[in-house]
Amino acid sequence: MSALTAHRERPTKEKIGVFVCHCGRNIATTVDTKRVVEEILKHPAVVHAEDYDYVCSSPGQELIEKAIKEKRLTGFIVAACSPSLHETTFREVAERTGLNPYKCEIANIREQDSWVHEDKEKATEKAIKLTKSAVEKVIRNEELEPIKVGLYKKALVIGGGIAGIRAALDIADAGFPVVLVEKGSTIGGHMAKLAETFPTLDCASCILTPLMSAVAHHSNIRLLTLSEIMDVEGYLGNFHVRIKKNPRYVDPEKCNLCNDCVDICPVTVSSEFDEGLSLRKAIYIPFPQAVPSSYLIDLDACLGMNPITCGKCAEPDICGPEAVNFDDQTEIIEEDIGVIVVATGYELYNPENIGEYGADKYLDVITSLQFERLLSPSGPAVGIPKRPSDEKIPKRIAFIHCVGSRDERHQPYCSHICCTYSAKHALLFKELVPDADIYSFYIDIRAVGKNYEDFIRRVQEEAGVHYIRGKVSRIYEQDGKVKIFGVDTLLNKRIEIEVDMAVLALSMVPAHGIEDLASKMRIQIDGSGFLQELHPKLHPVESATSGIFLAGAAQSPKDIQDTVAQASAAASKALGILTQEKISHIPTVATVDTDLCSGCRLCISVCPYGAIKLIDEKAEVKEVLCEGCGACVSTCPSDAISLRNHTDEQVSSMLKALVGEI
Amino acid sequence: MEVLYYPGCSLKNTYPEFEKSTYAACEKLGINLVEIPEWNCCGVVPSLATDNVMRHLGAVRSFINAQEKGKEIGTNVVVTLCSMCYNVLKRVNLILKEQADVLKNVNDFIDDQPDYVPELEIVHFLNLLKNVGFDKLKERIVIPLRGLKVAPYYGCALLRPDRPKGVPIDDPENPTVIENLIRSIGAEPAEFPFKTECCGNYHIVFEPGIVEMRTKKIIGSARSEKADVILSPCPLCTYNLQHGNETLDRSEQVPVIFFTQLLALSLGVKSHLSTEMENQILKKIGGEKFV
Repeated sequence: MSALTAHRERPTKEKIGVFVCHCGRNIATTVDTKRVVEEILKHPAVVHAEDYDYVCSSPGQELIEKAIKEKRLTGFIVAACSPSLHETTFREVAERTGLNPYKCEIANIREQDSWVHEDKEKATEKAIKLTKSAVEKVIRNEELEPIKVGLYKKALVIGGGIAGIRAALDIADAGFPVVLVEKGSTIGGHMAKLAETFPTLDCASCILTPLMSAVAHHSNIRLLTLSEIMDVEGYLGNFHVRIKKNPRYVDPEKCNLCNDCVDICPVTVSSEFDEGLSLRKAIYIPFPQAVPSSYLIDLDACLGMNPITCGKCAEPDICGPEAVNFDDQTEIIEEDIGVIVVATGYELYNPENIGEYGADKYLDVITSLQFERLLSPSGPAVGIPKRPSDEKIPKRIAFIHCVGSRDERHQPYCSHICCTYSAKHALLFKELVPDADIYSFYIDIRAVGKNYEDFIRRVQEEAGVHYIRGKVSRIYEQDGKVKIFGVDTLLNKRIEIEVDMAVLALSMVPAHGIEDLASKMRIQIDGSGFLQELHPKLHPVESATSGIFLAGAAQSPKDIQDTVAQASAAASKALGILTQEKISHIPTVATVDTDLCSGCRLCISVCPYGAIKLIDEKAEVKEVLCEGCGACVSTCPSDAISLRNHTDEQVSSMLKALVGEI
Repeated sequence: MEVLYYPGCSLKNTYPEFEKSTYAACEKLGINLVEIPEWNCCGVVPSLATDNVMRHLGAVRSFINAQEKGKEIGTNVVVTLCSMCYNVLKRVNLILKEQADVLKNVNDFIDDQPDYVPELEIVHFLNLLKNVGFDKLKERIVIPLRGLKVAPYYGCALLRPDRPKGVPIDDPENPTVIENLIRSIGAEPAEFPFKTECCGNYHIVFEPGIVEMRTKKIIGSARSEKADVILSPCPLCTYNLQHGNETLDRSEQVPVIFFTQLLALSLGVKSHLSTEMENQILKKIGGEKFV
C-alpha cells in the first residue's frame, strides 16, 4: 500500500480521491497500479491517491472513509472492476461518510483493461486514461437524490411447481397477498409425478401434497390455474398484469369429486400426468391430490360442447351439484402487482430428436419421467414397473445418462440431476425386483449435492448396479428385446447388450413458451434458453428488470433441494421490496429542456422502456420508468434531452482525457 | 429435365447395372442425364482424409467441365449415384462456395481451364427423386411391388459427416428417404435397425474378417425382419454385403441390389437384375403375369 498526497495549486474547488484496486492478481499482474497512483496525482483536482489489494473489502472501504474525512474529499474514484459489480458498494461508503453517493464513480480497469490486454506498459497507460476520464466526470457530477415512488404490496408468482409453491407460501406467510398463476389445471408441477426423491428416498407426494394443500387454503394466496400471462406493463412496485384464465367447465366450488362424470364419459385419451402410459377420460382430474381439487373438461377431446352429441356428464342425475358448466368462459383478470417471481420450470427434451435411440418407435424405450410414473405407487403400474409393450416385469434394464445433455448436437450443458435420479431409479427398481440386472451407461458421474456421492456409492456397491462408462451409440428393438450398442471406455471394448427395457435420462430444457413470456416481461434469456440472472454470484435470483425475480429450473437445470432454496431466496428478495413504504429509483435519468423540444417524437420511438410521452406537444420523461440508457439523448435532433450526470460537457471532457488532451 | 451426371469409377467398372438401370428409369421419368465430359476421379479416400486443397483438384476439374457443359444445356445441377462420389463432390463444392481464399487458390493453380464459379449444385439421385416428389413417382409406377419387403440400407457416406454443414442427404441418425422411395414403388420397408451401421468399408482389402463380422450382422438383422432384399445406394457397401452373403449359407443370405434396379423394375423398364433375381421378385409379388 502506498499513499501519496499532492501539494500543488488547484484551479478547481473539487477535491478528488482515487483508489486503485489490485483485485488480487486480476488487475495488478497487467496494470502497474503504483504508476497509476503517481500519474493520477498530477491531475489538478486529485488531492489523494493510493492503491490497495482489495478496495471492496472492509479494510479497503475504511481507507476510503479515512481519506474522505482527513482530506475533506468532495468526491472519489475507485479504479477497479465493472460498476455492475461494486458501484453500489462504494456509493454506500460515500453515503455513510457524508458524501452524496453520486460523487463516487468507478473506472473499470479490470474487464475493460487488465482482463483483455497482455502488454503491461500499454495496459497501464490505458488504466491511467480511464481513471483520468472518470475524474473528469466526477468533478462535474451533480449531487442527486434517488427518486421515491409508492408500490403495490402484492406479489405475482408465475408457475405452480415446487418453486412457485415455495415462493408463494413464503411471501404469503409473511403477510402479503400473492397471485399464483399456473398454466396447467393443477399445481404441483413435475414433482407431483415423482415416486421418491434422492438422496433420502422421501416420498415426493408426502413432501409436496401438504404444501399444495397449504396453497389451496392460504387466505393470502389467489390461485389461478389454467391461466397464462397476457402482458405485463409498468415497473418495479407498479406492475400492471393481465392474466387470461381459460375455462375449466367444472366449478371447483360445487364439484364434490364423486367421479360419476368420469364413469359416464365415453371418450378416452392418453394421460399427460402418467406421461402417456395410461388413459384418462375427457372429463378428468389429473391425479387425486390435484389442487384445485376438481375435475375439468379437456375441450379438444370432449364431444359434449354440442349437447346433442353427448353432454352426459352435465345431466342432473350424473352431476348432482350441477358443477359441470359448458358455458364457462375465458376470463381476463387484471392485477396491480409490486413484485414478480418467475418459476416456469422445465420440460424434458423431445426424444424424437435423438433418432439413434428410437424412443418414438420402440415401446420399451422410455423416458426417465415415464419410469418415474412406473415406479410410483399411484402410477399406471401400481408400484412395480412393467414394460409398456407386454406388461411384463423387466428383468434387465439399461439406464442411459446424458441423453441430449453434454452433447454439441443437442444441449451442450449438463442437466445436473440425471446421474443421481438414474441411480435412484436403479436402487428403487432393485428393491422391487432383487434379481434384476441393471446397467447404467454414464459419461461421468456428477453427483454434486450434499450426501449425493454416498448415495451413488451405495447404489454401485450395495445394489450391484453395473456402471459402464461410455456413450450408447444405438438402441433398437429386435425379436422382442431392446438391444444396445455402446462402448466401455474403461475396458476399451465395444459393448452389445440385450435388455428388456431402456430408460433415457433426457436433458432438461426450458418450458415451452418461455421466450414469449420473457419478452413480455423484458427479462433476458441465456445462451441455452434459460432465464438469465443478473449476476451469478451477486444477484443470483434477480432478473435484469428490477422487481422480477427468478426461481427453480426456469433459471437453470437443478434438483428439488436447490429449487426450493432458490425459491425461498427469490421470496426473501421480493419481501425486501414489499416491506418498504417507498421504493427508490436511480436519479440519473433523462431530462427534457421544453424550450428546445420541437415535439418530433423521435425519442418516443427509440425509448426501450416506454418512459417518454408527449404532453402538450413536448416530450416528458416518466422518471421512474427511465433507466438512463441515453438512447433518447443521442437521438434528439434539437439537443433538448440530457442525461443527469452524463451531460455533453461531461462526455466531452471524458473523451479529452481518453485521447490524452487532459 | 436435363441434369449433368457424374458417374465415378465403380459405375463404369464393377457395377454397370447401377448406371444402366438408372438411365432406364430416368428415360421413363423424363430426366435426361448428360454425362460430364472428361470427368476425373472424385478423389475418394485421400481427399476425405485431409484438408489439403490439392487433394480436391480432381473434383474441381470435373466441376469446371460440368460448368462449361452446363452452360450449353442450361443447368447447374450435377447428379451422382455413388455415395462416396456424392460425399466428396458435395464437400468440395461446399468448401469452394464458403471459402473464397480456397477458391482463388484452386483457380490460380488450374491455369489450363476456365475458372470455377461455384454455382453448381451437387445432388444425389435419391434427392433428385425426392425433389421430383415420391407422390408423383407413385403415379408412374406400372408394376407396384406389393408384398415385397425391402430392407433400406444407407451406409455412411450419404449421411456423415455433417461437415461442412449440408453434406447429409437426410437425418444422419434416422434417415427415411429410401423408405419413402420403397413405399412409392408399392413395396414395404422393413424396420431395419442396422440401416446406418458401418459395412466395414475399405477393411475389405486387408482385414476382410472385419467386413464379414459387420455384414453378417447387417444381413442377419434384415433376415430377422423377413426382408426379401436389401436395397443399397452404395457400390462399396454392395460389394461388402455381397461378400458377406458369400460367407453365409444360402438359407441365411439376403440378396443385395441397387435401389435404381428396383425402381426400374417397378417403372416397367429394364432393371438389369439377374434373370433369377428378377423372377424371384416378380414371383414374390404374385406378378408372374409380368414375366
